[in-house]
Amino acid sequence: MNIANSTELICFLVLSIIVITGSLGVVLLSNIVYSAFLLGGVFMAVAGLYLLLNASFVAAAQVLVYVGAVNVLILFAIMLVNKKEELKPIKGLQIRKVLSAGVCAGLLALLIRVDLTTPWNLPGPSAIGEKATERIGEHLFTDYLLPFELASILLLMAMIGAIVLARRDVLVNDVGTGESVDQGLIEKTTNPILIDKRSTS
Amino acid sequence: MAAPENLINLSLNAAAVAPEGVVLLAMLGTLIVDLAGEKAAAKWSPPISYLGLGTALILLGFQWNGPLEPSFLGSFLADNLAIAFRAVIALSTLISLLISWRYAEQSGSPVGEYAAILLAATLGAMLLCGSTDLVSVFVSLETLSVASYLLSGYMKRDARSSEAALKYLLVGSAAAAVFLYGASLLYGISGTTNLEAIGIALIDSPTPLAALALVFVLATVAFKIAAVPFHQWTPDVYEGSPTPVVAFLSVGSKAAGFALAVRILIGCFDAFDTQWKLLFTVLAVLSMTLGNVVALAQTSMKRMLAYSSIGQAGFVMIGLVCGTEDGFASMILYMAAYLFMNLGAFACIILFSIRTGSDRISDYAGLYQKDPLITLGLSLCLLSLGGIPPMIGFFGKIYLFFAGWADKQYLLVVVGLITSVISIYYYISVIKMMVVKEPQEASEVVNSYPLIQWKTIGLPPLRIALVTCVVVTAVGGILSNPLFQWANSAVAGTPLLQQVIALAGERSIG
Amino acid sequence: MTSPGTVQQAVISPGINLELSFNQALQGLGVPPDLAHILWLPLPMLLVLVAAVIGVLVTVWLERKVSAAAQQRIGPEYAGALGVLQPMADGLKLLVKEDVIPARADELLFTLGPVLVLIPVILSWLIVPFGQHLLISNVGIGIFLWIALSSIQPIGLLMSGYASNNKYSLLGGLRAAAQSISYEIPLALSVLAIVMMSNSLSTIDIVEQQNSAGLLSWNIWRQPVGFLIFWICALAECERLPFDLPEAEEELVAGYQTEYAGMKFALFYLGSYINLVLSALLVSVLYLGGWGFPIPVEWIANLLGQSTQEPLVQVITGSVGIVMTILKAYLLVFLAILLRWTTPRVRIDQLLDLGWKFLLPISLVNLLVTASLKLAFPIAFGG
Repeated sequence: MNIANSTELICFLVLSIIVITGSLGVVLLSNIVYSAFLLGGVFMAVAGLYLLLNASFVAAAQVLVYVGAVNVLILFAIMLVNKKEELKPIKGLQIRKVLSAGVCAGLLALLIRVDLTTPWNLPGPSAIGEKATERIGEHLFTDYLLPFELASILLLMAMIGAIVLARRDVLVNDVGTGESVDQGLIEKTTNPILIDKRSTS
Repeated sequence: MAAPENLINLSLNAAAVAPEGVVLLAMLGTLIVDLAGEKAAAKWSPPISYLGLGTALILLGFQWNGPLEPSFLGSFLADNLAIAFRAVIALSTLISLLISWRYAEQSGSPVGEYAAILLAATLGAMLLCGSTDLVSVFVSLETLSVASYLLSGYMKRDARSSEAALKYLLVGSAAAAVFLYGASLLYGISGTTNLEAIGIALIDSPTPLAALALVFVLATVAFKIAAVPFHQWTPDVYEGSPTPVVAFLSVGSKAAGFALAVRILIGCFDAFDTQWKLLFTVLAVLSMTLGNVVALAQTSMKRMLAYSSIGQAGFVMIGLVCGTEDGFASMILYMAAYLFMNLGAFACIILFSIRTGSDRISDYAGLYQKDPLITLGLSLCLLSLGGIPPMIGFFGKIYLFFAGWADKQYLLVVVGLITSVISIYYYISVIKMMVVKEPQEASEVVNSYPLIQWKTIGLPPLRIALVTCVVVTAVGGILSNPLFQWANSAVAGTPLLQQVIALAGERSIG
Repeated sequence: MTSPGTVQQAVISPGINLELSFNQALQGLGVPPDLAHILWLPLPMLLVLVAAVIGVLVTVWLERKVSAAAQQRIGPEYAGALGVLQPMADGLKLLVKEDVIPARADELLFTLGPVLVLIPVILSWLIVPFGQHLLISNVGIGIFLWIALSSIQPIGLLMSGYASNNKYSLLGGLRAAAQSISYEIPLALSVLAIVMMSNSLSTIDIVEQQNSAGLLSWNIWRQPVGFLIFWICALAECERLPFDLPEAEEELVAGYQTEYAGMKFALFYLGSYINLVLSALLVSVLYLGGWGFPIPVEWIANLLGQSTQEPLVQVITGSVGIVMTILKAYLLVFLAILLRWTTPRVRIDQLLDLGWKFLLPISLVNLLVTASLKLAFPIAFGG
């Protein structure tokens, strides 16, 4: 084994450890801010794995989209909604935690078992390195043209929907009758649900 | 991969998505009109959407039995199956829009954006029906899902609506993530994203990994069609979402889910035929049982219809599990029938909500004296949902059970028959509530029932939709022959299904 | 397969391969080739670090002198001739200052924040070319790497804002992150227009594509709108006045830097100046012909009857390249400093309005126009 290979192996091991411990931290830590920052670290480490696979464009895109956009957005949401609220203790939380841990461990065992029994087609296709950017572009404008164009509609609609849900100016009158309205469901409820109960009590 | 100079001359065969293109134009049109203000939007969004969806339906009609060429280099295929499901979806959106306007205006929500988002959901659902590539499947599925999340939270001042949207979003995202995991496994096994090519690769090497991918993909499909035990989101989301949105979710979104099921399970997991049929049998039995039994105990009309829709999805699954010519045809037929009867029922309960502001079943007591139209319409639609002759639902259900019996799916048919009887009980109890009660027993809501008038903007389309659905439900059963032919030719014009049917025939002989 | 370490190519000056001679020299001393390669790896990084820090020292001195001139003062004058050693003194002072971590602050995040702000900026220097072969790493994704790396910065800002346990810090951090992500979009779009014209993301290709006819073929003539957008966005990304809202002292004390002292503060300080120099360098690479002399060196060589292959000409070309890049960059730095001391600050809502409602649409239109021009006049717009 020469130095290049062992460097690669060491890099892979370090990145994998970061990814695994980081994601465990994201799920298990009770401080949500730490979870969010760790998530950023996990995304970075995944970008590092892409780099190891010689997919530098995908790695940079991963950093730009996941760290630069998604994770910053998550952090924003957490920091802007910094509402300290004592939640009621949930009954049987410990048992639930144990149960879900058991299910997850079972799933993990299943995945590992399947992974080991599958005859993988190794080695996979060789990386095309620097040409990847061009190749991705060609794919996007040939066989993945339809999903690519549809994604633009998806984003447009998500943006419009987000603005509609978030904007402050509400229509206060019925367009047809001119009566004032409250922007709620027309079917009024008789027994208040969770959120109402908390605000009234 | 073609060389760059050849890329310009690719034959995309983009005409196959012309109906979606028209829907997209209508969506953009409503958005542009909306810029002129709420009044203009309320006036112009309806005609634009009708025009778009109507044109889309006409274009779909022209595509029927057309030449079968894959479009967008294998991302999309407009076979008759896809056309039939796309038509069901477009029609369900059209009717959902007709019954939406008054509801949206009376709750003070922006109408233009509502129509635009619903049209975007339609676009996603329609493309999902014809997608033959994992990437297009995922993107169109997400378009449908994200639009659905937005729509279910559309009454933003109402905590129930926000709660519904949040629940739907969280569960839906989890389902999408599971689907992605499954899809990535499929890609890893086969090295391609084309469903047909994956299917071939799976036949060559049916590994345990592929079985795992099947389970993951199946979970997402089950989530989309709300099959038990992936149904937990349904009652809460249906109760909290605006009622017209529920109407769309229960028909359009579900039809898209079934189209996805056919595309992926039959087109791609043919090698795991017995396995997925077994899983789907379990899902169908659980859905029919739980949906119909829990619906008995509901006091809210929307919630009852939510559980009933879970049960109905279980019936449709019988057709899918059969995998025979009759099975697929009965599935398509029942989806079409379900479209009219369910949307008819929703039109009635929306009208009742608009007039009274309630959806409790007990509030319907004695309604026949104050509002015969709602009483008649709702009764007919519920009877049809329960499968009482001579409504359209009866013929749909009979055809499903017939196909199931012919394919020796005795368990499914027996469970279906028993749960149908249970469902008739709760459908009839609503009708009894409306019709049988004496005037002095009528509910407070009905006693203070407002004067019936149809002049307010948004009510005339609601009336049209209601009458159309009820008439089709009532008369469609007797005149259902064209529908049968349509469903059969949908199956006959789909090479994918024909292959499977031929294979199944060989198996049973051999 | 390459590991991130080996992605680093070499600093190769024209005609002379530094890496090769370094390796050969070491092997002459009996070091195995693999080890020689590993010993070589940190050198380019060290070079970048030194170059960046020297760039900052010059900039700080320039800033002090220009600000003094703008306010009719003299500025630093005792430390060295014309006070050139003043930035060194500043740095030394910060280095020996006490490192204060506020009570109830989050120690770990408080320390990590400035580091996360600084590292991406320094890494971005990898792609800045000073000549045909004078850059650390000619990675294929070139300019995209810079855009990706600069998107990490907001995380560090949010982190230090949050960890300080101070409302001004938090507000400053949030503002900085919001500003950074809002201006990144028009910035990336204007870079995209350039990339479209040169058919490559690599900074080398971008510069070469501009150097066919010297001054006249620079991108600034073909992308005047893009140039302005890029410059405005770059200033906003560096949080320079008129966009220094995250540190607006009247409103937020010193924003996310409020609680920082000593070396951690110095890291922020360093980061912001390295970023400024980097942005100026990239403007010169993207729009002002990079290392190109206003009149192509080949023309002059031909005029004098010299072959461009001659070692002497090559050395001169290389030096002119470095000088031109730095000259152009420092011209822009000077402009930024002048802007800082002569313009008033915008309000936060004006800032976001400018970014989202003005620069974003304009840059989209610019991209569209560039694409149409590219189709219409492929010769002039890199068909």
